Amino acid sequence: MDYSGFDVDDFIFDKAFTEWVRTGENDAFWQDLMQSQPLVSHKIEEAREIILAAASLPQAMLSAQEKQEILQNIHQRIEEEEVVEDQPVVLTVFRKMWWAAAAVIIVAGWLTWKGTGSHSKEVTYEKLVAAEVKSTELQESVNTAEKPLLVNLPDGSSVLLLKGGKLSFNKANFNNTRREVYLSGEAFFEVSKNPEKPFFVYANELVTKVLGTSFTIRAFNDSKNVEVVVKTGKVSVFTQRDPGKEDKMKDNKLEGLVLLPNQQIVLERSQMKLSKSGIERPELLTLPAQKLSFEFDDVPFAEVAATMERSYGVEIIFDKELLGKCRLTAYLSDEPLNDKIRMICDALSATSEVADKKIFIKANACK
Amino acid sequence: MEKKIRIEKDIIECWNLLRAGDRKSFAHIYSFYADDLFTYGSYFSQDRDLVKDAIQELFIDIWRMRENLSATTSVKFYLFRSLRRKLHVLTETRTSFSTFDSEADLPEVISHEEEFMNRETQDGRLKQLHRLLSQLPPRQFEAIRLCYFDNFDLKETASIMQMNEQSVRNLIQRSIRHLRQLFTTIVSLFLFFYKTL
Repeated sequence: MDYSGFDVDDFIFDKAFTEWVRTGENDAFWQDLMQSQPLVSHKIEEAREIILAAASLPQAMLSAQEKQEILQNIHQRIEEEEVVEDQPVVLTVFRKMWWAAAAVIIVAGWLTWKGTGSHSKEVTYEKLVAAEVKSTELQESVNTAEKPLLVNLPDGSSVLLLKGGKLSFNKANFNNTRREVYLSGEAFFEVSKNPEKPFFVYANELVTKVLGTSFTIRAFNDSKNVEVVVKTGKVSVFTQRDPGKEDKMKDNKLEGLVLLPNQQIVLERSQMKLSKSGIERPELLTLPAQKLSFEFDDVPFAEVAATMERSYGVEIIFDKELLGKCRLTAYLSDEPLNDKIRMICDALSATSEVADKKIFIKANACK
Repeated sequence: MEKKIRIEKDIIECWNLLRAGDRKSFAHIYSFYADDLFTYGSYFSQDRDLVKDAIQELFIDIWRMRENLSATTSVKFYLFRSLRRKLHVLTETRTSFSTFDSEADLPEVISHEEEFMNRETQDGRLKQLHRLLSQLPPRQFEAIRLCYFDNFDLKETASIMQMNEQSVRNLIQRSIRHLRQLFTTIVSLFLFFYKTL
């Protein structure tokens, strides 16, 4: 390249030249050129000075707080819009759940009104409960309200029961060798981890076995299909009529049809056929796993509390003056509500007390 | 250099994850470019809130359209171009003041000379150059900034400014000429002033 006839504005547009000014690339060549051609050397100096001046122009600065505020506004607006977009209402709830869960199972189906069909071979909630649990030992929760109902199980697991859902368990032996619950309708589970005592959900003909994770099940007596979708984590699924059912229930392994993230099975109840298939509504599954957790990065406690209140339908009572502005960093995911509260309290050096749907958090100071 | 390439690779990866709906990558891209975007935006408006709003709206739009976003080799380029448009719309709706598309490309005659002499004369050459640069006509200054402050090439600069490449080249050429002229005037004035002391 012959630079002898170059003027300042020629250098300004020369790629090799600007690269040298910015990064010092090929320094020897340019030093050499300046040595050997004093006339060009002046132009080079001038062009270099202008580029360097432009490159070091003062910056307008955003404070860290401003930066954070903008990001929060963005997130807030996005969430508002997504909730509005999600119709019908059930899906809204689901979307919220996803923020709350590390793993999600959706058991769904189109409703076909068959009546209660007492002669059919169908396995329903009522039949299961009647066969397995003595009425005196039955602990049942029914949610007739619009809002999800929080059910705390004796092992510390929490269940959010959606409208129209019923959940029951045997209070006499719930926590003996295995943990078993019966479900009708839709619920979101956060199961405390305990591989020694597997957790079973009986929903119609379907048995879902987990060792500790979180998921949603939706199973209505009158559904034609039962659908299971796992978001993250691992669960195994088999039917009540599975010949190997007893074996699968016995040990602490997940056997049978094991579902991994983003897999789906459909149970056709009329034929008792379990089949893996594609995900019907992939747009609901595009949220990455990490988004399903309660991740708080340097967030005021008031906000954390509000998130928990929204997600679990509980009321968190705390000294707003004292704790409201405490900033908290916590990465929570599929722990049951009580564990989440305990972990948050640990971080804040606070204590908690649970009474009904109210959680009291007490602390002496913001640590 | 290697580090720069790695960062660019990371950002492009984030961009692709964002297109697939990953909020974390989305937030990362925001955090990575927020300052650059704010600096660029501040050039068009002194109103901090307006620039902040524009950045906010830009990212909300990006999230909304994430599925339709194309793969890109320069995320920064995409963001700058979009922010400029966004600011354009916001300034039009909110205020009458706008430096956009002001075709007035004439320098504000060198009334600054005196000012220069009175102001900290001991200022370094660099500071003087900064001052001169910022006093260039808006579009000249923007072109220089995009090319040498934000390191876009001519093609990208032209696309961001919605001009053709040759016009950008002309703008920069003009600004360099103008700058050199100003600078020599000031230096000689300074010398003159110095000598007469």
